[in-house]
Amino acid sequence: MANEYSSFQLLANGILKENPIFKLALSMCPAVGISTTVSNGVMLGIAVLFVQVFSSVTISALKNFIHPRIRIPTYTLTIATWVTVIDLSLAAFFPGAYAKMGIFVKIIVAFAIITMRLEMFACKEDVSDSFWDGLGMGLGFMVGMVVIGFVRELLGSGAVFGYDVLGFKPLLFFILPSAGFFVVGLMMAFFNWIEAVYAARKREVKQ
Amino acid sequence: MSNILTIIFRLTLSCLIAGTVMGTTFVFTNKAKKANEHAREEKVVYSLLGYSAENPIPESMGLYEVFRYVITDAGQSSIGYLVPAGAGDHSEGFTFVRIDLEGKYMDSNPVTISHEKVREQKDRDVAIAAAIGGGKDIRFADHTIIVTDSGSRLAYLLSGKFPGFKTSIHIMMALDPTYSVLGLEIMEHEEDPGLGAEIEQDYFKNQFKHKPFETIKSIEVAKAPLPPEYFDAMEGKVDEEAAIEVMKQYRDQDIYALTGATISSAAVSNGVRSMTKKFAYRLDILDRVIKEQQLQVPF
Amino acid sequence: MAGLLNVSVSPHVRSSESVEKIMWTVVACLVPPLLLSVFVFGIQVLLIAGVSVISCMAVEAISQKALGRPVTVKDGSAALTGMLMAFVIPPGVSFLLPILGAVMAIYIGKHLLGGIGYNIFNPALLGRAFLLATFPVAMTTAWLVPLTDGAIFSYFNSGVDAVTTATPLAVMKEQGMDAFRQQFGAPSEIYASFFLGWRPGCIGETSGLLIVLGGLYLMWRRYITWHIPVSLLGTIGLLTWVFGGETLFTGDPLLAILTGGALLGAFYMATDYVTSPSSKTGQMVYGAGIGALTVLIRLKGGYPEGICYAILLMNPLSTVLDNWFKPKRFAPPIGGEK
Repeated sequence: MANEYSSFQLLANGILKENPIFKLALSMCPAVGISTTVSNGVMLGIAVLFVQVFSSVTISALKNFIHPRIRIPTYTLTIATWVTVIDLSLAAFFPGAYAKMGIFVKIIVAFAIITMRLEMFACKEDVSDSFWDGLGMGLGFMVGMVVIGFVRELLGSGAVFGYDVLGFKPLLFFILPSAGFFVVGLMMAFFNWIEAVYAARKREVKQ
Repeated sequence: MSNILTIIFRLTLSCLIAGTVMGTTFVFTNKAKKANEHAREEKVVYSLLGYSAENPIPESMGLYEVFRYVITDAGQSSIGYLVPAGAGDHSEGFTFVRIDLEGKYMDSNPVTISHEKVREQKDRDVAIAAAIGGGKDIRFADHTIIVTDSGSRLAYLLSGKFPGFKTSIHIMMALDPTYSVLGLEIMEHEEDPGLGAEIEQDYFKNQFKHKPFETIKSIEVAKAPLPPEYFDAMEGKVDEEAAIEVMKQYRDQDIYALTGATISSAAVSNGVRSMTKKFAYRLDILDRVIKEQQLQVPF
Repeated sequence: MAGLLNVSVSPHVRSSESVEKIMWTVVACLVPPLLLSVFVFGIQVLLIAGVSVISCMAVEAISQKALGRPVTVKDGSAALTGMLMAFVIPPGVSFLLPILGAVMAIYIGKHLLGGIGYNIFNPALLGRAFLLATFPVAMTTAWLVPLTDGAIFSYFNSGVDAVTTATPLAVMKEQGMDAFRQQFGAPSEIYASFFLGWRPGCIGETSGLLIVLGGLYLMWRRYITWHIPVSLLGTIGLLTWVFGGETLFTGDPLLAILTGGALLGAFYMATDYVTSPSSKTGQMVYGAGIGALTVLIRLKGGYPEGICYAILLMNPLSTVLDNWFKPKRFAPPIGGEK
């Protein structure tokens, strides 16, 4: 089954048009809980990226084998397998980061974004399209986490990537979980605003 | 019917494949994970003793782990210590010494367990139960590392936890043979950010450094502003010799409480005080028993 | 068409009262406690309150302009928010704090979370909660020792660290009743001094007398009703009496009402029109809920004083309470009785 999109379009779709955090507002729990620093955001983003890509490719490759009546249990099983693999690997090879975010890696099993992409995309399209779609979604999630992490780390601990850049801690509020919602909300508003301005300009050009 | 059979067959097959993938990963990563956990603890141990990757621990030093157990046998409680046996090359296994609550020696049994496996609580419990005979309830209490250099004792490393303002605070600290504090590290805590969470900052935890046992025994927190030169010395903002000089002046003082977090500060200083006092009391008993019974230990 | 009367929709009741008048009256009622606070904590209190009021009004004007809504700074609601926010922060903080608090309270708390008349949370308390989360050390330690000699300039430009103290509730919570008696005297002796205002605390919460007088004036003008304050303070008193002592029924209800921000919260914060229920039964339940949460936080929680969070927690419930306690309809339902 071929679709009309190129691989680049699929990639860009996940990062911009259907960004999991800022547009679909899915998987907000980790976006709020873990995104206190840029490096935390990157780590969880990588974990989600791998799980999304592996699961999409697995489901797409096995789509003829999966019985339609039991597709959701099969998706869950697939995601759980890949999450376990990522969880064990992170624990083994990145113990420092894992100590901080271990619990959130396990929660990836329940991420709506991954199941949604499997149900909506991977079970109908071929392997390479699913790969690009999964990559786009994973990268979109990672970009979201990094942006939120950047804002919160800069404002909350006055640092970027763990390096002290401001020399003081401006607003401690931003490393608290409640501030995660604030940053996500303000970012959403910002992206919607940009989109509205862009759309308005496009309309003007047409007229 | 055949539909159901297909579903069952495919689900079973999926589960088997998933299980194989997960199992393979586990096998590949488990060893690295164990090694990492141990390495993290070891890093803290070395930094508390003043060693690091650039300044490695000398060959002549030995680290010996002592595990304390509480044993209940027909309603009677006693304390058991699992200590390494022999001269210290880890070849002669371990000895399990039992001491009653009055501090009298009860018995000792050799325990056969390898040096690597002793760190696993499950393996250790099984080995001890086998050595002292069944029917007894054994419960792991805590473990201490005794550090020696060419046979003489250099330091004790103990870990423990106590209630903080919100949940438990888990610390690790190093004592010298006179039970003065060599260093303190906060391993885990969930105190409030910006308030109680400041206990992990150098300017708080280094206040305990080099305090003698006499001071620690009755240490309290003082609600006074931290003197700026003391702050600089603990945060490493002045050179090392000057810092030692400044810290010497405050050696017998109480702990300066963190602003706005008196309860967390008091929790840490109370925890350190009771851990040190209890440890000193227990180790004196263990040492006396080892001496009386002429047990072979490497420390 | 031209000859027709210009008919507008109801209500047609004319009144000399307007939002503007009510708001500025409430602000005026808050001036006496502020002036007393100057005598208790020094002249810098005026600076904090001024910065708070001006920045709240400025943020209101800017955000209304930016959001394309009509600018209504003159109606006094922003000034009232600024005044109330200054009343619930410690007197020893930097005057820069209220500016940040104003952005949070007015822009996010009021205009983004609903807009004028529809905001979910009390903006002044939201500003305080934000400041408490952001500057926990300043907001929990910058309490000043009350001045008794009228030397109102003595804290101005002095290092705050040297003169801070602890609030009565914090002493009671962290060090126990014995330390409290040692520092402030036996409860019976201190009722008077607490009621008049000579105790450490937030800028506006110290003088019970002036707050009660202002509240009674507002009730006399029918700007607020007795339901919320009475049920709130009654619940605090009752629950503290039952659970506040070492054994049951030995707590000190009067002390519980006089310490902390109970009176200020009861008369000025919980009675905010927008964020409290409008039905009378709903108001009673709302007040009782705030009182119960306050006592729960005071006795079992991490903070010494809980009324700020108690009000914020009950705010979103006010619409639910209004739904539960709808006034009875006198007309039969449409379509007849079933």
